[in-house]
Amino acid sequence: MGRNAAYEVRNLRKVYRSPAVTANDGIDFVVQPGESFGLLGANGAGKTTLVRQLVGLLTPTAGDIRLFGDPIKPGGEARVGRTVAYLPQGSLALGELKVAEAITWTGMLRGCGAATARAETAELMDRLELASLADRQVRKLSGGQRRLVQVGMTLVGRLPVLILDEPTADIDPSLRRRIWELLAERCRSGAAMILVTHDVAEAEHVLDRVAILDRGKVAATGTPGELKADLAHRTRIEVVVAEESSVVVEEVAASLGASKIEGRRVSGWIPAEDAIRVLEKIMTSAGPGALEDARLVTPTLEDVYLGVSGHHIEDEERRESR
Amino acid sequence: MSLASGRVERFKVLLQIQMSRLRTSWRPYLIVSSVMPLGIAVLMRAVMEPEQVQEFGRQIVAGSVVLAIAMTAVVMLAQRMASLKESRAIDYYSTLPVSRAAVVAAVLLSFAVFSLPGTIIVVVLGAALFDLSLVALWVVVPVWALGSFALAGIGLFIGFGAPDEQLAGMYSNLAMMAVLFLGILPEDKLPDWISPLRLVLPSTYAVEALKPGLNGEIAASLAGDLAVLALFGAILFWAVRGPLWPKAE
Repeated sequence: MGRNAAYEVRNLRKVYRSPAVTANDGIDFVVQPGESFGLLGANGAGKTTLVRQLVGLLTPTAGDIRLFGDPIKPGGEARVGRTVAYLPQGSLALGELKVAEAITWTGMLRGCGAATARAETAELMDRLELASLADRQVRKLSGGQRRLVQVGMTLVGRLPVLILDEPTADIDPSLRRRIWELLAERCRSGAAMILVTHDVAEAEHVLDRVAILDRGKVAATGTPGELKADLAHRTRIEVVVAEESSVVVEEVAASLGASKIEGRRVSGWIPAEDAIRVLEKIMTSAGPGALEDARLVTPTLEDVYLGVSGHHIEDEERRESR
Repeated sequence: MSLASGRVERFKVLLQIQMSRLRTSWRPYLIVSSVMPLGIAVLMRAVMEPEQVQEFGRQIVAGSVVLAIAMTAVVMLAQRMASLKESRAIDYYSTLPVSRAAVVAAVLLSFAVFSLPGTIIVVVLGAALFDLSLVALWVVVPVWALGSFALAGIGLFIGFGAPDEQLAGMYSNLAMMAVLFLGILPEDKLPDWISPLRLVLPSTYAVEALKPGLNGEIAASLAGDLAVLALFGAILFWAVRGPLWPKAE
């Protein structure tokens, strides 16, 4: 018999009663131990509702959620608590405590001995650059620093499942990278991770599989590579016209066919086989120094996300070309 | 780590968290839980005729002591729980392997620790004001402990039921008014229709448990009153495992 999936979600449906809103509708997915699974989608797509059901904070209207084979049911919080570390969006628990206390005591509440919890806390504070803030009260830190403390509180105790709702919100780019590294390490050591994020470009590198939610339903699912394959026949050209240039932005846009203009920046999607030829033509006709930037961009997960989340490339192209 | 020792260790951590939270703000809690009840006792003593002191002294001091306990178990607990619910910090505890009863007990105990000195101050100074006995002062301790847990049911009901912290503060102060009037005023001074309400309030049994002790007596009814307080506490801890805890929608 094969091992149980970390999470198995079948036909999950959540309807809020007042006002009547279907937040999740027929959601299915499986997350295996050691796998990182991303939940992407626009605001209001139903991501947070979904993860709150995964940790027992909301009761599904219908469907089935299993954690390592056991159904999650009301009153089963202890099972979730021993197995799942959850980083919610925006709440501030233990704000009155000092940074080191908040992380250590969370570890001890998860069952670590004091010495283990303290050792893990020291390591996490070092990795998250929190060591100098160890004795500061959490609620007096900046928003980004508080988020780092919450990430530390989530990782302490080394639970087998991590659920993180926007872990890198308010955090600067260098520390974001550190967080992604830490999370990737945890997955390599066998933890299952479910990640809700808008930071698609960065998350792409740590996610094994992705589900894109749109209006409560899974609109697309697969590995980042599989999802991007649908756009592989296209390449995006991005051109920025120099400030003092005589080149007319609208003329560049016309040479790209359907395109989008944002100030001096023009971008458009063209067939991949024509990309180099079109770029050369634009650069030649503009002349030396007329363009500040000109490049070809292969489709990213963010492009897939934007496409599925109601911003379809073709729609955008049609709108811009009118 | 065995299951039982694991629970004890986790409860100690929960208590540490709550006590640490109060390390910078314990003074106001201590002052509020002693000054207001003591002020009421002083006020009542000041407006009383000398012959009334003997008649009503025990009721007033016992009522003031219970008011000191209720300040933490009703008002402060209600506001704290409403704040945890409003800020969604309650989710933090809900997703840890700790019981709801342990979370509530830790919050309550952290507040109650600060109400104990206030309680003793009120009983000692109140007894001096009304010329009462302190021979059975020890009775205050079980009444404080069981009364805190029994009255906490009201605090939790308000804290988890109120939409926000401000309304929880207002509702809990209304509840305090009930505790104040039904505890301090003698039963024969209250309208008949209020008597049934006295029976369902834990504060009534706390006051009745304290009164004989202020005459230096240990009444046979003490065990019964303490048992009723324990029963209210037991109901609270049953309720907090289900009906009282904020619902997963």
